[in-house]
Amino acid sequence: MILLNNRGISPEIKRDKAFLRTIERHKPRETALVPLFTAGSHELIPTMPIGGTVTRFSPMAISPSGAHAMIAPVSGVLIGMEVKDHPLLGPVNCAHVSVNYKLPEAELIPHDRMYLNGDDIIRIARGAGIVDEYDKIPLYRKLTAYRNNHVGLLAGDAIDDIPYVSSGVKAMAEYGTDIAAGLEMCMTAVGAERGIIYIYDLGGREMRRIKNRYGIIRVEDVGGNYPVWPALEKKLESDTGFGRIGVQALYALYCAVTYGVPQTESIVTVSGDAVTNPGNYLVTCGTTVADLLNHTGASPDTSYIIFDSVMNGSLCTDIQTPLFPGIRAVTVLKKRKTPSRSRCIGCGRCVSSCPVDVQPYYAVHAAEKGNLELARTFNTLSCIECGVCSAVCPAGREMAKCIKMINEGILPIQPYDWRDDE
Amino acid sequence: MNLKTAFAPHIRRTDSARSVMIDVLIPLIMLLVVPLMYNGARVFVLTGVSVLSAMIFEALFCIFSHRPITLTDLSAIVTGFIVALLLPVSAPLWLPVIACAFAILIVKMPFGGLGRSPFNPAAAGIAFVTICFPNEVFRYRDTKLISDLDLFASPTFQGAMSPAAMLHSNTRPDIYPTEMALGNYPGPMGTTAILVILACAIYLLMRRTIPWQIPICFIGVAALYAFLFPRIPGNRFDSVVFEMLSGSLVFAAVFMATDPSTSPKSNIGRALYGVLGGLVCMLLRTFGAYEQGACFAILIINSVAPEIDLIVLKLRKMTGGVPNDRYAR
Repeated sequence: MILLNNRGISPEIKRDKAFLRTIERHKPRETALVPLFTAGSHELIPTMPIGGTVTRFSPMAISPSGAHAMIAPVSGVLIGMEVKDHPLLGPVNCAHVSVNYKLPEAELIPHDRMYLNGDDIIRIARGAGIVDEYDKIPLYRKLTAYRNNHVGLLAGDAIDDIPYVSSGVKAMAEYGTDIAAGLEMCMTAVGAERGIIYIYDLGGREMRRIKNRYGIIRVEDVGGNYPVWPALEKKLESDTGFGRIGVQALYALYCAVTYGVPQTESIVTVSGDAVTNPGNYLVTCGTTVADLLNHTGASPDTSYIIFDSVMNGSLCTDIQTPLFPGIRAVTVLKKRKTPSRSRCIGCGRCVSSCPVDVQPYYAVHAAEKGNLELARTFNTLSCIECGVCSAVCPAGREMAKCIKMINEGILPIQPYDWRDDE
Repeated sequence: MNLKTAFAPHIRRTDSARSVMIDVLIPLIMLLVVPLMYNGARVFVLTGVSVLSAMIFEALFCIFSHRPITLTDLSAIVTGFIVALLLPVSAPLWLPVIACAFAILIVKMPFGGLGRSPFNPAAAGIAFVTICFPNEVFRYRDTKLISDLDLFASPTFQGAMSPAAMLHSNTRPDIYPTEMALGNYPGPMGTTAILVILACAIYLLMRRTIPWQIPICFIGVAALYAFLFPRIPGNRFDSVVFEMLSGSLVFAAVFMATDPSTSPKSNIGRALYGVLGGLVCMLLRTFGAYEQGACFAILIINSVAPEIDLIVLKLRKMTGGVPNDRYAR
């Protein structure tokens, strides 16, 4: 085990009920709201008129140039179009599909792995529309970039160091062999010599089972404070460059090559204090948050629905927002525990806990005096937006938000200086 | 469902500015126990006067400068406590009032109060009364005297020489180190019981209220200096023991140098700050005019604290320790 003595904060909730339960499949019940986007284009036009039939695994929308296509995740009838302001995608065209599971699905064409070269694998990743769930970058782009940079080590990323999230480790527990095969395919595509899958140690008997060795792929567990990656990167940097691919993307690549299945599903951890049945669910693209929470049960006094990470994820304000592959967690909270807001007491916790040596205390003070140039000298451009500085602040100040504004060239105004407070 | 919006992160530590201050107050109250045993209830009177005057001065300043009254953050109480603990128990009651007036009205509040003051208010208050009234500040009562002190009147007694004063005049203190560790010797009220201070330091470190780098480096460097340049003839280790046990050095290293708003924020900066503090403190003890140099040392290193952080950042950028703009998007 790699135990990192890194900065950041210790994730308080490491193991929860979601991790202990097996992955359950959840399909949209009556209607699905499919966001029409692919990795390359947001302006997709449906291939069928309203009232037309949608066939699962066949293109349901294409870009004006015809270069990008969106694969239908469900079969059914297209009943309308709507523009949704998605917290992760921005304004996106969504197709209302009345789901009918009795309708036929398009025929899938499996590939024989033995006869595939690197270019073929990248082409398949592109055709299957695979997105990395950790950084939302299309897999084919990452693989191309890694190949051009002659990356020597590919790291499978199952580091769930954020409270409540366990989808990556859970995917490893259930589909470990397939994910390792997916990483081998990526190594073929990139030309990398080594592949290691890093999992975050959530403790318990199950972890020992996951820490298996799959052929040439090693699985290593990592322990330490959130965020783990900056410290782990420093350890890996001595190698000949490394690439980082999420395990769900690896699993999707394995399925795309072996069965010809495009990525239309992803494992989503549904957890938080407002959820009745927390767990990891295999969710189809187009399932709305309301549909999923109906299935898992949610308290009526839910106040916050958070996509991905509770540390730096986006808040969902519309319960009819669709999910898509690339979202790995939905955290549902009744209320947020925050310290009462006061003015900065100069404790310096933001500086001493920053994993990438940003000095938020000095930067924000300089910016509040109107000097953005000076503020940027405190290393703000290194910020990885992990949110640790805000999380440790005893005065409840929005340091992470301020650093982001400084980098965008906006003067941050803290609205709770002593004049407004109390 | 009534969905709300807020800035990330959605899970935060819940200790507030006030809980940080409460964490400091608990050990400070513990420090009153040993002086109470040796000196009686006057300890409470002196501390009460000091704390009350600090609170009143802060409230008055807030009222006259049309600011919201900031007493709820408890920082004034901490300042009052530290001022009282750094004075002898026999000090006249007007002494902590003057020290607190200087600390709050001159050093803390004009700069903007908690977190904005460049100097530690309590250290500045004590330094002020040390310069103005050295006779009162360094007039200690022998702890062997059995009679309790009068609660309110300024007591009259034969002043005893503290170990720090003996070291200052290059004579070896005639007290056993074990007695000194238990606080049974003439000295400032709260700084004599080293064992209690160390227990308090462990509590504060466990609660992560203070960073470990500052007290360890402060005390370590001071001990090294005492070993290399002993002020008393004889064994070098004796010099280390007496220097560490006498005066307010350990108290200052644990409670004053670690004041978060006046110390550096980066971890390496904190270590450097502690090293500097220990060195300056020992130099002031050796070459200074007074037997105690800790408060002056704290003020001197406070003035360079922001620069230390800047220098550390620049050095790390030069040596490649900081991934310069690597993550820039």
